[in-house]
Amino acid sequence: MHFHDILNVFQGVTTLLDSSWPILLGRVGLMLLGMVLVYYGKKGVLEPLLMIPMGLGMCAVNAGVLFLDPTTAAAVTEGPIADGVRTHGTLMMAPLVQKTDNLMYVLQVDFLQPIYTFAFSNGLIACLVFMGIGVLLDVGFVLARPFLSMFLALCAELGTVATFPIAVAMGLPYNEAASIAMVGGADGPMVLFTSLTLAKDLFVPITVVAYLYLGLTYGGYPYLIRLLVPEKLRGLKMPPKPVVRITSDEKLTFAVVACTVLCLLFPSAAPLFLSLFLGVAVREAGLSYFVAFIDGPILYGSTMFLGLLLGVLCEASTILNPKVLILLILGILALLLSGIGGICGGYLAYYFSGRKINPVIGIAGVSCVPSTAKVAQKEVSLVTPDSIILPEALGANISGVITTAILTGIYVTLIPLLK
Amino acid sequence: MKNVAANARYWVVGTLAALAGVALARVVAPHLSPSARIACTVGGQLLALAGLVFIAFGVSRRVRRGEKPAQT
Repeated sequence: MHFHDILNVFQGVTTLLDSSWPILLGRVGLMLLGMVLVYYGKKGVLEPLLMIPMGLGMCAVNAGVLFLDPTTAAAVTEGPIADGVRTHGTLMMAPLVQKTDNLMYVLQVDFLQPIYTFAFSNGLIACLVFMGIGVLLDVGFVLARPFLSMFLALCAELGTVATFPIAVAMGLPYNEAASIAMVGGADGPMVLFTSLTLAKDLFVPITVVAYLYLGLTYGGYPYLIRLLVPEKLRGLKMPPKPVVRITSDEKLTFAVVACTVLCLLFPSAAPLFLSLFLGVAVREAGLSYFVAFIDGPILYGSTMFLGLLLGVLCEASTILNPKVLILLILGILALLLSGIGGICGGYLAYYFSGRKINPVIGIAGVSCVPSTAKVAQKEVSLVTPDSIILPEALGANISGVITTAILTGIYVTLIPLLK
Repeated sequence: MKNVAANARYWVVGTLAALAGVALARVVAPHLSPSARIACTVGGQLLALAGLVFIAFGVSRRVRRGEKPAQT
């Protein structure tokens, strides 16, 4: 028995020592980052539903690297393996496999490959999450205050629009620039859908960056609000309004018309529109069994597997791309610009309404449903506990989802036409 | 559906405007010269979205008028 036989027993460690320095440091760093995500998910600083499976997936995939047998290695690398070459890999997922024969082989070996192939890489999981979001949305908030809601939502798309030329100026091609710009919409499924459609080679780092930052909006935006809105304005009480009664038939009809028009306009994003408005329609039609099914098993099951797959995709050799640093900078810039744009929109609404509208509502135009609306209400309540802005904030929040879906449609439709 | 029927003007005009916008962007624009195509596409998309906002405006107007929603 030789020393290397003992090392083969502990292949996770052996492959670590057998890796190049960047991969070794990347694997250790990603394992630590995974632990940090689990910790902050448990503490509630980051979104636990997503971060706990994602963090654990990151730890496991970077720890569980082994030497693949020659047949599996040939399928995963999609090329011949020279004698004596030991290929590193995992038994979880091989996201870069494309040839049908290799894919069929990997589907029978890697345990998460079926979910990745049949639900993730075609955007199904993003659409299922979006369907769940649709069930949670009450479009009545938008119908009650259409101009305020749409105006704030448009302002809060500043990051989505402005990051695109910045990304192009930093050297990214149009498709990748549009995908990372979508982070400004603060809507995970949209980023996933856009990057899968436009930048398939880079969708792993873009989506991971997006979800990491989206987890931070809950913790970071309150500081942005405190920085940009003085305490006196944050505590502004808005004049009381009677309870708005938008009937379910109006909401259902609006969902049908909006879905049809938007699908006609942006067929490339039709799966997203259908998913969103199906959720809305099911809710407004009062199909309680479907509502329970979509906002329970579908939404939470999809969220868990989305988090797990994103974590498992963070294997050092997959995610370590020279463009990741640029994506990290552009992602945070997009979210920051969207937050600033939303608050600027809030200020404009404040002045145009005769100083009646609380400018903090603007941040809710960023479509991270319902986090940004809750953040806005929380910040206002800290200054004036009996000031209620949640209905207006939710209107802007839901409009934000719709405007982000429209921008997704615009990018997905127009970018392939640009040369 | 009584509330929709009672407010039909906004629903019909909004839907027709939205569909006209779709027709401009998806049917008319591809047949135009490249410079006119972009303007027609953007104009059509804006018209379609304006149609949806017009419907929402009609609903909010009904609410602001204080009309009680009819029982369906």
